Amino acid sequence: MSNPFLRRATEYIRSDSAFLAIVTPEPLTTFVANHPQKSALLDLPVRVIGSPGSGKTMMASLVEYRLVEAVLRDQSSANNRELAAALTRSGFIDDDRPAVAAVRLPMEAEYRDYWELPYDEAIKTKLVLSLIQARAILGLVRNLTANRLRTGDEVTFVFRDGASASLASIGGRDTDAILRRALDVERAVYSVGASLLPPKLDDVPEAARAPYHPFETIERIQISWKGETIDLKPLVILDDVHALHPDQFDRLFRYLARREVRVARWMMMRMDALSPRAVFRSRDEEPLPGLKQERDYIDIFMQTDSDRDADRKRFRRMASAMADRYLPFVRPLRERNFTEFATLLSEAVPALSDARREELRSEIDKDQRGLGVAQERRQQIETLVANYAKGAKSYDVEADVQLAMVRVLMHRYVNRIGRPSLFGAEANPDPKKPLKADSDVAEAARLYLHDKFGRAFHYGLATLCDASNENAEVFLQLAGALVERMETRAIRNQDPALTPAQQQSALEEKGTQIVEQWSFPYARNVRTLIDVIAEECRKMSLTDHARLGAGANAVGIPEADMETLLASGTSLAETLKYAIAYGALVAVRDYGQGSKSWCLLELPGVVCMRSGLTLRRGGFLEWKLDRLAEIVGHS
Amino acid sequence: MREHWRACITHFDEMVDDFISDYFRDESRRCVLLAGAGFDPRSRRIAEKLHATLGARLRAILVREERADPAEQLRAAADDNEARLSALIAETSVESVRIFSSEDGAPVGGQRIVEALEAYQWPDDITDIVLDFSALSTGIGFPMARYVLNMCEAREGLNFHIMISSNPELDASIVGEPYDSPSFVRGFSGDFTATDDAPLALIWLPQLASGRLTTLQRIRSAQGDAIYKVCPILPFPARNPRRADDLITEFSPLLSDEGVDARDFLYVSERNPLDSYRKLSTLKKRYDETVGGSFTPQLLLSPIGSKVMAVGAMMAAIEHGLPVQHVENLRYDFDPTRGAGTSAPPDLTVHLWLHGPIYSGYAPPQPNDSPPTP
Repeated sequence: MSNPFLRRATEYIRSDSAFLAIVTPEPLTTFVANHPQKSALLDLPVRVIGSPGSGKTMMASLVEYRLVEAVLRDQSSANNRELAAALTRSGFIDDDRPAVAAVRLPMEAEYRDYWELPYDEAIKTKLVLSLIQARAILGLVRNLTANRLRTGDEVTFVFRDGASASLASIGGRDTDAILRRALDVERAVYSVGASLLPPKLDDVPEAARAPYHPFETIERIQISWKGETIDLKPLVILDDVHALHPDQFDRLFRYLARREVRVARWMMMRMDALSPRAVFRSRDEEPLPGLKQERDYIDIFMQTDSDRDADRKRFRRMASAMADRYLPFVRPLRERNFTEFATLLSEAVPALSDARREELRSEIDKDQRGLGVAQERRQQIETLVANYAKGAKSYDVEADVQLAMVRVLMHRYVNRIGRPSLFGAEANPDPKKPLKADSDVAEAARLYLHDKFGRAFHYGLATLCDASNENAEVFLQLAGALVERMETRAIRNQDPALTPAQQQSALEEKGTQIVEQWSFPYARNVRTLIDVIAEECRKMSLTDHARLGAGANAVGIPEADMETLLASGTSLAETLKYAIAYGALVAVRDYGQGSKSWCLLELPGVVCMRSGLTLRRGGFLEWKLDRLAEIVGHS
Repeated sequence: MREHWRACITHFDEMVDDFISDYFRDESRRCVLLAGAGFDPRSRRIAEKLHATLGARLRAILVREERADPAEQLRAAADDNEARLSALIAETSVESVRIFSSEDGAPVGGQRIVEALEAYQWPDDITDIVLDFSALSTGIGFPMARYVLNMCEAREGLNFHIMISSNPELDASIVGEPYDSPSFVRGFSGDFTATDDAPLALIWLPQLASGRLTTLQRIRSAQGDAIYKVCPILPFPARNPRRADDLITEFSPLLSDEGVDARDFLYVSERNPLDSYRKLSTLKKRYDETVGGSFTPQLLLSPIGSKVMAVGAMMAAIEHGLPVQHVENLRYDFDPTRGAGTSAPPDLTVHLWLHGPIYSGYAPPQPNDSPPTP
């Protein structure tokens, strides 16, 4: 197999044990186990919302019954024990026994096709619901028998009280009969949707027209587990429901929100299925009028908007664990006993060559002369920087960075005294506001060195994680680019660990490629917008006095203006919606700065790496909405 | 079974012109042409050939495939082609087909074109229907073909011809921006029902075509672990004898990920659609014989490249109930730096006589769908 980092695991992992070896339980723990309404997640319908690559499908696949059973059956591996712990915390395992029988149904384009049939909306909805329920029944039994620990006859459906009237419609009490009925319904409904010309209503097969409501009839499933009979809560996970027509989804969801429905039901969807206001997480957004969140349904956003720093830290742990799981699949590295991804990403502080350092010194001396900074002042600044370097947390404040910091602070000094001294270097007034050497100035210095001298700026595991914007797929793509180079070096009998410069080069190239390959609605417009924002952020970040410290990687729009735009239904609102939904921009609402409230549109990490911008948050350019509209309108 | 398809009447290049002038010279022949009226420069070629002989005996249904946000020069080219075709053929009906729903952007073109054909008032006196595939996309051309074939098989005396003005070098210059998820072509969903006793064993046969790597990756991604084997289809023999090698190079990321080796390639003629039809039919038969009983064998086709090869695949799909999966294109660009751009070599012209009284000596086919009545 070629580089496993560059493929979605669900595509090529054919065996469950191979899948379990690489799947990470972190999303389950973060979004399910720690959910404030965890106890209701199997009672109310749940919408699980995330951008592509956020791990929705992987999470849905992990909780399917056959995998939960496989995990419990083999607790000899540390990996399986970790997975079992996460599944227990999330409620899928209870006291070392499975508690939930889950099945994942991908909502492919064929379900959407039913909405184009020339029938009443109620009939079209009924057909889709019958198809979903039939496939759910078939899928549940398939999952329960997949590991060959039981046959279909040994699976017993338990019905809710008072369901005897609807039992006949689902085939009766006997599991075989229920399965036969499900198969008949599936075939009948499928034949209607798949035909070139839809049949007239009277010609729709009886099995497709007759009432069929297993979701309202079945309450539990009983199986034998290690000699005892246990009850399982059935859970149906509809994956990619954003593929449905909005009205179709609305009707489907309202049916699934009915109290009569006894099976647990989750719907995985992408953010672009939501309105612009919902994508931007406007607080008073009511996506389903008449249904109240937390009372009638629960939303799980696979990206929290509360503590972003905590998110970053959590993601770093998850990504690192994920990379370590994938690494053994890279044969040249496995054969050389490399088991930890972080050790292959050197974080040795990049140093300029002697010649380049001399060039740097000359630049700074030239700046000092041009600015008219007194030698005494320069020495004070150098002392300031040296003191900072002594106490800095980061290791990357060696001679080169310190020199560049001096440069930044000299420019700031001149800015603060008003203008270069008319009296030359003899006058040495104190600045209005004292100069300070801090981590922002250090970052600005590194940025200058990267721009001017090609010194590596983006390297190391933490940078790689932060550049992924908490998206597992982006992380794997970036890591994959690095692994490709490591592999090549290993095959050539060189040390596979990459230097910062090598990491920088690989990440810049991959970041560029990812952006070029963006393919979603309005992608062209979004790319144009991103390019303009990146260019202007770059110019601001490289100002001599580093006005924004570490630099800018976002634009800020007044919050009130953004709220108006999102409700407008214009193509700009749609463009921004898709940009956020596909991770091409990150929105931060109600960002307070300078006694104003802003909506920040942050560039994603891949763009920052491509354009040589900081990954630190907070630096932004103040823009008006008109500017956005102008750029998008002209693209 | 349509036994005549193994050796159905075909003509190539100048022989197509000879056939048209000879066959359609008969004054009793009344023809309806179904063709795309888009930006593709090949839109008019077949129509012009037919009109030269048929004159007023030719009617046309011109299909405008409407996609969002088309490039201005392509829209202008499409308008020009439509105007010229309408001026050429006296009785013309233009069907504007929205490929994507205006409500949610989902691909709906296949449904729309079938509805349009169903609503069309087919003249009682027609003797021949010609489907010009040259400028039609897979999502439109395939359902049209299936609809017309059903109609012709249900009605005595009606002939169905497919004509293609093909140019693989020009194809490579037309770059599509793929939609984000694949779908089955309307009327070509196949039957995926397997049982626990005979699980599905799916072979995917993607037709490799330059510039379509993302499209095929999307189809592959959607199938997950359902695919047992990947057997790419390559054009050989081809006008450019190195075309297959170039495609293998271009698609190496996909091929190496799938563990494809040289034994897995299916080589089909770039010029004769019957070659792809025969090879796929043989593969289907052998696969059924080999794994039937233990597995439920199925072939999944993705004929996204050369129209000639795609038509052969379409015939196999119709004959054997094979599913066809593709990714609709949101928009097109004409990129003269790719392929041969504006200096493409001449077109390859193909005529395929799919159905008609000429085959009455063969057993009648079993129709797959309820036939519409015009």
